[in-house]
Amino acid sequence: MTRLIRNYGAPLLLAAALIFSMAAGQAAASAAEARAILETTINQVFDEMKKPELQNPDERDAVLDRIENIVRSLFSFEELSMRTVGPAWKNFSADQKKRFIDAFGDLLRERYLGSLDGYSGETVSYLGETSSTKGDRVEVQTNIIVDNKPVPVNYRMLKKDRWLVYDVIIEGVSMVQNYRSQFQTVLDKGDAEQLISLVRDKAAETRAEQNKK
Amino acid sequence: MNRSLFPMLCLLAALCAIQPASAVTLSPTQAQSQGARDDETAVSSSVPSLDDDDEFLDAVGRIVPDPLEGWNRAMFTFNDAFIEYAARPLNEGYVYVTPDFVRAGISNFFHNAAFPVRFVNNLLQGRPRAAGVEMSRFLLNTTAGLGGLFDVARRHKPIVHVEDEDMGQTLGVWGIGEGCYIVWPVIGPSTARDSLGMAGDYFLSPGTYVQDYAEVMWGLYVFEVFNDLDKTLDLYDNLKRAAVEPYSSVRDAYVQYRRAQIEK
Repeated sequence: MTRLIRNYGAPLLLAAALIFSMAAGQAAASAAEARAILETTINQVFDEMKKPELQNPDERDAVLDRIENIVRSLFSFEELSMRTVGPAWKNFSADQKKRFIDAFGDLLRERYLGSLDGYSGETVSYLGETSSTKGDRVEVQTNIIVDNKPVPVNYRMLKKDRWLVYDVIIEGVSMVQNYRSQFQTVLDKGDAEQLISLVRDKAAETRAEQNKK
Repeated sequence: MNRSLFPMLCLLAALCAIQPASAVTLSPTQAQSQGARDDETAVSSSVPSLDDDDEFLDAVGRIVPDPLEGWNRAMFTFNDAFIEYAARPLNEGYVYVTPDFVRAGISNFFHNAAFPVRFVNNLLQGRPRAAGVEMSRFLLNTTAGLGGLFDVARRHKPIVHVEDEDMGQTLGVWGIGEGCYIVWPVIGPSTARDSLGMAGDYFLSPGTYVQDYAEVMWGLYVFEVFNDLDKTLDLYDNLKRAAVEPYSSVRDAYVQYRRAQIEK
């Protein structure tokens, strides 16, 4: 055994180092890839927000639809739903899963796109990326600068056929965990159907509020 | 300090049986019971690391024990009504009649005056450099900033930004767990530990010592919060608007945010 190490030790070590550095290199490459996708998408959204059409009532919906498509290409609503519902997701039927994903996507759309007023000088600075050990997941750390104040926003992404965001952490508060706490409270007393209708109602309520403005 | 408050806080702390630091209470789906269990997954921070993210899929998220939920929900409803029918209309009127620079000046003044709280807590957390930064800011803003009305230190490049520290964070850094969640009337969300922290910070606040008249002192504290209320209300509105179950959302956001502050 000792001879084996003496004879082959150095090459073995070298090979191990090589494999390790390749893995590390791959993780770094995937982190850079994920970040590039995030950056491109955020820039696209800002470009749409800068368009004057957003302020025109006749064209507003078309712009919002375009932004929604851009955002939807970045987020995995299935992952978001699965992660916010938690362990109970397994007990949802295929139909319930589909209806939940639609309702939750609708709620997020109403909440975050419905109130979009246009671009008011926000900038994003990219602070860095960390990769999971396996390299299948990446967190991109950013600061969004609003009114000269930086707000730390981290995006967690995983690789499906492309890199998709599955959680957004704003000032240390994970959106997935926050919704998970809420859904847990609902599921403690109710079932999947009640949760779906509650999410639907909230989306409708938010939509009605936006339309009033 | 109000004599009845302190025993109440002690009682609360005892009642909540302070838990180990930052242990996220995660119980398996089958076991809906709360409290510490052997098979619970505990993580060191609120947001799991990238590698641990998937383990959370199989765990029920109970971020903080909430044995006082009945009282807390009642207080949450009371505070919400208090905000909508008293605090917000008053604050809107105040914002309307008071120029921005006056409000900013008042805000700067109170922040500067609360320097001992941040200074001492930085020291207690073993952050002498941050304490030094607070000291420099205080000296500069009190002199060149005319008693703290102007935040001149912010434009002073060598003085870097440091996070505001308080006693609740200090206790957290020392390894004292949150205990249970509690919603105070008017003050809002807190935990057993952060309530104790608030009591501690009270003794570090200069307002506590300059006045013989309790009414004046409490009036100052209320005014300090009121002057900055519009920012707090923005945050509250955003959270509430996006929430399906607002009580749980605020509870979770408060605890996550505090854990992130302690880690910083």
